[in-house]
Amino acid sequence: MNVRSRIALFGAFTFILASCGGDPIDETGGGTVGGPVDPVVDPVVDVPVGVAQDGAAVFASMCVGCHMVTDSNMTAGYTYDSLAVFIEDGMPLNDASRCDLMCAANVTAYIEQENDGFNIDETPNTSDDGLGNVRVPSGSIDPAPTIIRRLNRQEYNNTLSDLLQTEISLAEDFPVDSFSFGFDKIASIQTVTPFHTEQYMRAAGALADGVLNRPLTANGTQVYEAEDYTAEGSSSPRDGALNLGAKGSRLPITINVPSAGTYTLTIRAAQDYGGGEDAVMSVIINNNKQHDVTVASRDPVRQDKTLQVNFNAGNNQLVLAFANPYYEAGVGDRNLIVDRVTLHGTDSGESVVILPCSYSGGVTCARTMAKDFGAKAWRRPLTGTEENNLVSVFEAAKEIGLDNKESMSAMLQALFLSPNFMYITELDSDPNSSEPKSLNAYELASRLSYFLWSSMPDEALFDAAKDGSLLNTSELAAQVKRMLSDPKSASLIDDFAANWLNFKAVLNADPDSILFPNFDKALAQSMAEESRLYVKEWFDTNGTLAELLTGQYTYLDNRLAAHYGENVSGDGFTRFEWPEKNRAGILSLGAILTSTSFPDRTAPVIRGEYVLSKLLCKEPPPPPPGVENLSEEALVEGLTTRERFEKHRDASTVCYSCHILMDPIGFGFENFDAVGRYRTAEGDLQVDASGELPGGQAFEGNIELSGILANTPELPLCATRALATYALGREVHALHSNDPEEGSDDPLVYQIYKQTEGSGHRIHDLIEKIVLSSAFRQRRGADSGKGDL
Amino acid sequence: MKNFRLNRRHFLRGTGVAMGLPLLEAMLPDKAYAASPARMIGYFCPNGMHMSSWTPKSTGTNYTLSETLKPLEGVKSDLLVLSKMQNNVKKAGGGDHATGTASFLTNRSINKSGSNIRNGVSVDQFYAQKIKGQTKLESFPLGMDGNSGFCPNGFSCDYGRNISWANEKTVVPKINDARKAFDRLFAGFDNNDLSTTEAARRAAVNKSILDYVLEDSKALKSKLGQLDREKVDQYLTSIEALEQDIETPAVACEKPNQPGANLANTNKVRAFSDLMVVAFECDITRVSTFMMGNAVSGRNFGFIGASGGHHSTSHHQGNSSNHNKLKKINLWEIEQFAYLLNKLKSTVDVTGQNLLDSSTVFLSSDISDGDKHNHDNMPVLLAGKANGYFNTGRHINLNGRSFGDLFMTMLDAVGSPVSGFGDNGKKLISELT
Repeated sequence: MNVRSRIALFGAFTFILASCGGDPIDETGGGTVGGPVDPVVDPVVDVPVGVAQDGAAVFASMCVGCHMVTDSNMTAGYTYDSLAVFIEDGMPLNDASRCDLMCAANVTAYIEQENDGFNIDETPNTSDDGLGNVRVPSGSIDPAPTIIRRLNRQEYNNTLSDLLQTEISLAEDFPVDSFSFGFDKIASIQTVTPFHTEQYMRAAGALADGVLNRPLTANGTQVYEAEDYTAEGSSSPRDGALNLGAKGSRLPITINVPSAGTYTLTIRAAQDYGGGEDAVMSVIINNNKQHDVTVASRDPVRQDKTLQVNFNAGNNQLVLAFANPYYEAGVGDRNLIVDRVTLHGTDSGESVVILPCSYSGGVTCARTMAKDFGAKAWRRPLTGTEENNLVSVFEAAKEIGLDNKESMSAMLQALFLSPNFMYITELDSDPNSSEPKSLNAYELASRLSYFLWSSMPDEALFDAAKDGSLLNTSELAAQVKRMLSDPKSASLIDDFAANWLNFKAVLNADPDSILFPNFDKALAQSMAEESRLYVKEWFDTNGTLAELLTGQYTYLDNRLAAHYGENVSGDGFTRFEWPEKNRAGILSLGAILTSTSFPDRTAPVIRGEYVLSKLLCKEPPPPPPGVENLSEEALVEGLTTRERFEKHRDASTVCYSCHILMDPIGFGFENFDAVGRYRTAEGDLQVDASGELPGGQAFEGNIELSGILANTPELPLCATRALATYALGREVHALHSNDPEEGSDDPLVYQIYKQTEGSGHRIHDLIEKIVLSSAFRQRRGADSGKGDL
Repeated sequence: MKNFRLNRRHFLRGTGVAMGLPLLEAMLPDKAYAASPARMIGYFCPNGMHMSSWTPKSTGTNYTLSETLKPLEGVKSDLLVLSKMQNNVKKAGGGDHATGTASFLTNRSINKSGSNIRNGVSVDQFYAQKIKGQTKLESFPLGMDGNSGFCPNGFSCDYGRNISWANEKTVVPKINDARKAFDRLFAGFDNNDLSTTEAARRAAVNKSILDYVLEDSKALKSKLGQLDREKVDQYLTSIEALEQDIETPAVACEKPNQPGANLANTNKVRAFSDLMVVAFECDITRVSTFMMGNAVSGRNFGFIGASGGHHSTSHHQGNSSNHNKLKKINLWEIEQFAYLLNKLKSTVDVTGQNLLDSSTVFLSSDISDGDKHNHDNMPVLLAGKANGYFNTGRHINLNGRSFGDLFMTMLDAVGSPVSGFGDNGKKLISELT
């Protein structure tokens, strides 16, 4: 029952029964307050004149200390009812009993008046075009019970790649993650079995070993003492250095660096002067001489020579060779003395050291490792107990008889196998309470980085978590902007968009090889890449959702261009503008047209279903059990695909009610064959690409269809729902639900809709508004005893 | 493949890549058993069968194999053809393929949801849990398809992509790459020797790592709410399983050659069949499942002259061309099944008994007829004697008995009797013994 009804039942006001047509109820009460559209066919009760004035007085005395009445953040996401209930239950802060239901209703009416109603109560589209009969939700945004989420395979790889600053792909061997709603990020359904932990254990071992065997970090320092290495040719030790005395004397050192790039090489050397010239040292890297360095300093005074050199990732062969040996008995003896080689990483100028210390430091390093490296790996600072527990793994390994390196490996394995690493964890002071609570800054940082990057936070984000600034809306918005401009945000294309729009499904397509002899895996890959690049340009230019459907460009390589009957020059993919204007947007992409076809023909049903479920969130239900056989004439020769499928819509069959929704949309794609080529005829028969949307809006071909879809409010609503599902890792409950239990996410979706409406629902705006919403910044537990999600 | 008694040292050495590896190779006394252990396979074929070509005309021992079942001639005496069985569970809003696949080994109704998964424990996993710790792997789920295929609206993809369920909420994921499946069986096998002292040392370190993770998981769990705890419990249980592995008997055979890369269709099914057989032969596991395709599989059977997507063909609409294609597809499926059964029959375990004699191999589908989407008159085969439990070599009309009853009977056969199973399992099927 809504607030106004409850008040009415107190007998304080008269009320007016509204019709149940869903139109906004305009005011009889002197235009003071506009009634919200209520999705439930309840008696809607209005608040008469005078109340708002009372509310103004209350607001001025109790609220104005913290709130401006026109502060849109105060009303964002609220309806009249939900705000009134919120005020009744929670305001003023710490003294909620001071404002009872009547008081709260008055204040809410005042707020409503001053803000020209609640945004959320505006129906985005009230026209009766069959697509726009969007109902307005009631209730407030609910962060919904949150479940700790295991890193999925992509997140595992990305997290470790970022943590260890090298490409990690170990998770490809892990069991596939569970998918619902198109995504493998739904926390509640991800499982762990012994198969998983076997693989995690194996991966942890490989990682720990790998990182410990890497002597140099991209920005760290590594020292090579010459006397630890064996020279070729004649050499002799001298005072902690090596004397390379003769022709052909050379000192090879294998140097392993984590990534290709420029490093600073410092060589400490000296000479024995003789024969009238200084000693010359050749610096040879991977068999290419880089420098001839004159060494003027005379031993025992040794001199540092610093060079900038390029190394490949992995092992490199550094050779220091004596270029100009000289010996004349009784005249002179020139020698080159090499003391040590020091290598500094100079990658980006920022000091990011993968491991904070060397395992040779024993337990001291173990402690530092637990504290510093652990805080990155677990994406939050560790408690003292947690540090101690990790160090005890190192100590236990030492006791068993392992050396420092092996013991450090054991500790790192423990760190990687910990649920604190494997799960995105949010702790709640009262985890079984359904009361929403704000995430702490580190938790928010992880939610953000796994949403935008499918990976762990970087230094800048950790910094914003550490000083708490991330909890400020402005800083949070700034981080979103920064992170979206980082190349790591490509995960939103590869993990979000690819799954939402399902454009990688073409990689599993297997069109008939007789009918479509030109189709092979390489072409499928080109199609997937075309889609990725199309979406990437749209994403990088912060396109509107309408533009996703209407872009007149694509990206083609030679192979795919030929397949489409077009021409591009050069290698690789080239941006391409469609000259014929018979393609536009995602619904013209070969990947989508192919993966929504059968192997031997188009599948209007699947194409229609794609539009309904992916773009409009109007999934038709699965077919009912015991579908009656269609008559055999459905497959007689001489019919187009369209004509065969029209049997589905024979109103006498059980199929009718759903196929009437799907098929007429799918028919609009008939200008594209089962491998995405444009056609005007199917064999000898003319293609009819006229279609119809639910509700009766007719269109001709998929360009017109895309144009209509681009302008329907259901597209941004549906895209928001998909994006929020991905962002929150949980089900975002259906639009239009009459079930109060399932209607709880409509306020979120509508809020985002309204907030991004002005800019035409640009993708970066949608992302930012989701991040700034309370659903993203808060968590709550489930009510005790209600274990369901 | 020959039978082997083993060199203890075969199992002692990891690849040396990582500290984590030797865990799985800890050496313990050779095991030996007097009688063959009971083994179980669940074998799933998607999209139903062409039933009129499937069902043999007569029942009893003297029946003639039907057109589709012809390839099973060589194992006819090891086979029970079970007609008129049903797997009717309560369905929520359609989704016959998802429901039929999820309940394939569970006989449980499922919750129509993408976020709140509910099924039941599957018969293979129930048995696997009963004999937990006796083999290196509890079970070995396999399948042809990965994360491909249509997920019916309103259902999690998990329902149609898996048949093994550890409990009502937990899918046991399958492997769909033959090389990865091979690695899972033989990880850690290596011919490098490692001293017993070194092996013990590594086992001790691994134990201390896992002990740490267990403690850490418990500490985390204590801070969490109910829903989170369930997740951490899964993690705990699975880490505990690794600890048990340290104490699990080592595996008794030589490493076979690894399967080829990028296998497809027939070659891929056979590679998986070979791996199931070697896994039993080596006693790496006693439980396996196989999915010939995910639910609603659209596999293009052009390679056997039945081009078109399997699912769309299965909606035959009474059309004779579709009927013919379906018969070809079903025949091919049964040929693959026959390959597995023949191989089980020609391979002996350490007792000298062939593997089929100790196995219970169940084959069926998510639905019966592709058009009707019905769950009665299901196509069911039960192969293997379960060490003498089943009286094989017959075609029996079971007049509406349920999969639940059959699963009860299968569990009775492998020595894990239950008083009920799934939605409908109430009574043993005495006709089978």
